[in-house]
Amino acid sequence: MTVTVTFELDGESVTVETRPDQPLRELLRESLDAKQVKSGCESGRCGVCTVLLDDTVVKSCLTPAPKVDGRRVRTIADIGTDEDLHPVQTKFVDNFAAQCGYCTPGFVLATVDFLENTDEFDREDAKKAIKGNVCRCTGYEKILDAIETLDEETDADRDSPLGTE
Amino acid sequence: MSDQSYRFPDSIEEVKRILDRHNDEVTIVSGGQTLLPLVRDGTVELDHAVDISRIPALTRIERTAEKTVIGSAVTYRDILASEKSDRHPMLLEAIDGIGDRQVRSLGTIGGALASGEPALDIIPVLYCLDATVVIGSSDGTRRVDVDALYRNATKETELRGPREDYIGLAPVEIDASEIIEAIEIPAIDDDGHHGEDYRKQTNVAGGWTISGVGTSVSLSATRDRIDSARVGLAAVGQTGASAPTVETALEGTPTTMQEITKSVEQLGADIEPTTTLVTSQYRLQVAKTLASRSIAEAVTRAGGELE
Ligand SMILES: Cc1cc2nc3c(=O)[nH]c(=O)nc-3n(C[C@H](O)[C@H](O)[C@H](O)COP(=O)(O)OP(=O)(O)OC[C@H]3O[C@@H](n4cnc5c(N)ncnc54)[C@H](O)[C@@H]3O)c2cc1C
Ligand code: FES
Ligand code: FES
Repeated sequence: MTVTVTFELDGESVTVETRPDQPLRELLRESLDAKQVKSGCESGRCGVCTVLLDDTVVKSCLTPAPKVDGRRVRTIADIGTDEDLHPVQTKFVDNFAAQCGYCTPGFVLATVDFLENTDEFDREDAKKAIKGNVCRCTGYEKILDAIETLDEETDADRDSPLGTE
Repeated sequence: MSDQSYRFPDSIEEVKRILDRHNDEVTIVSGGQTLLPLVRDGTVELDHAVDISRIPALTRIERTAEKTVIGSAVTYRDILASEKSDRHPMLLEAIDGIGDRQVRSLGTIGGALASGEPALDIIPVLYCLDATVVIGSSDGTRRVDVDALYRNATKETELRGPREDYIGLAPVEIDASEIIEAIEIPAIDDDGHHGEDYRKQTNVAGGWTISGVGTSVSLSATRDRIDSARVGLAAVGQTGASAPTVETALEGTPTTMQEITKSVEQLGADIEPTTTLVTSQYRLQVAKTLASRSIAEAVTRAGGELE
């Protein structure tokens, strides 16, 4: 390990050793035990490793770990808890949008980023928003149902999809 | 130098100084979206990274009466969000279809041009928009047309090597001591006779492009003839491919579907489609169909009535 990085992970400052050729996904899972960040294709196609980098959705397997130095990384653990689900998570539950659940953190984070940056949308827009995420169980329709009902939600919910701080 | 390093230079000048001295060792990292899969499969060794994504001069979009200048490290996401790129609808439409939200968050226009993958959507779009690429080194700055970066390629990039899901990586005519600084897109004389379109076919939703066609046309004052046309192609073979024979055939023709189809029939003279993923014949057929539709749409957007 040759490069030291300091960044905010789910609200806590961490300092850790990494390498220029280490993907953020590996650093998070192996050095920081952030196993909520899933591992799949490792080549940018499945989206299970999705995290928010300064509130912007990225795939952590395609992010060089040293790139996050001085920045803020948020995983699903900072979005909601079992007791206090994020509105997006609640809608996923209500719409049966998870089966095995392996893909769900990635979908929720992509949806959070999408809602934060979108005013009005339809099902086609929702489809485009989750294009970077693969689900092997649900067939996507339930996930799209969940996202679509978020559009119909009260403005209060929509005001701050990012805000559980 | 130590074994490995990762730095964030503050300025373009600093990057040039590093490249001047260490270009055989260092790798420019912009968004990392092309690089990381290559690092993972061992095609590229990333020991000394020069990350350009925090350099203010490279992450700006500027708009003047004559042109829009996009810094090479501007992400696709930021281009879509910038009102300054509004004057180029084709650019925005094409970028909206690139990869997915996550890839667009980090992927940059300069990283795409420097990697020169033939399947990239942005290259034919920039060709249609007559864009110029600004390239700098400690020796100075040069400006080249976007297609010239690939057409006269004399040097193989580090990034060579076929990968199953990419349609090969092309040699790009950029020296290891050089950095792409910006892309300049001239403002279109808004006489209302200009139209553009980009469309593509992918093997699966969100997958790589089988064929992509961009078109820009200028119509006559009466809008019933095509004065000039540009047709740029993605994923047909060589990076930066265009269709000069079709472009010439379109010049001066009436804006009828029949004439457009007739001109597009000559596409086979311009390209020898690659056989990655599908046969050459199939790819040519897809490219022709897309080209006819794209030209027709560009004509319509230019205010022409298709007969
Ligand atoms: C899952 C996935 C889907 C994709 N889908 C599409 C798609 O549908 N359409 C499409 O067009 N593209 C697609 N792409 C490609 C994507 O557009 C490129 O990966 C991205 O734009 C590259 O930019 P980057 O900043 O990440 O480059 P990097 O990975 O950082 O760099 C790429 C190369 O360019 C060099 N480089 C970077 N910047 C400069 C510079 N300024 N000067 C000189 N050299 C430089 C680097 O050293 C490296 O060799 C996809 C990629 C992925 C991972
Ligand atoms: S593991 Fe990152 S996209 Fe699949
Ligand atoms: S719920 Fe199993 S992969 Fe999506």
